[in-house]
Amino acid sequence: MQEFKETGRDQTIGKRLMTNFAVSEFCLIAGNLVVRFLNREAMLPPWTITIIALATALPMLLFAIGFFRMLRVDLDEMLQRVVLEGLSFAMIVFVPLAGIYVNARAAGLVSARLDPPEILLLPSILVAIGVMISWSRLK
Amino acid sequence: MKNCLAELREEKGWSQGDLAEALGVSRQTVNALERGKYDPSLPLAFKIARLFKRSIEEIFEPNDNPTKPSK
Repeated sequence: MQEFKETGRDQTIGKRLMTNFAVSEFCLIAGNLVVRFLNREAMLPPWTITIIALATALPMLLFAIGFFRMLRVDLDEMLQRVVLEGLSFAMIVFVPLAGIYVNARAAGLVSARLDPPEILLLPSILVAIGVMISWSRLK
Repeated sequence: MKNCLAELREEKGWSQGDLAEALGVSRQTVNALERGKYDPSLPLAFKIARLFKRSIEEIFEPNDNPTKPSK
């Protein structure tokens, strides 16, 4: 089977992408919870909490930098589709939810106030759900 | 889209990984192609056809066979 050997594409790229995303997301959410807890309990000095907050966001920053290259260069056409469908799913779900929440809150139907972390973290969770849905259809 | 990719691959004695490597795609993509879950792009379809020395029509067949266009 050597006559047509062509590119030697990295066969673990999809798995690596999902693993990196899951680890980054976990760090981000866990870091957020830890920082909230430490702030409330005032157990550590503020500079330590700042370092924890930034350090736990760093994996997601690195993932985001690598993600664009992975998407354009390393992923094949089907995996590109899976990822792009995941991103589309997040957008499609997030925008109406945000719209409904904003209007319902303005109308006084909803009194619960969402913190920015909850709002900001939701799209990345939705991307993961969207990728899983898209992937399950192609498996 | 239906296809005979799995048969052609087995004729050559290749694994899905071998075919994936030859086509420059992931093994998951070959698996999805063989099961008819994913339709390849035109460049990938040409690559597959060239690899097996067949025409695209010999390998891929639409699920709904097109009827003759009405005049």
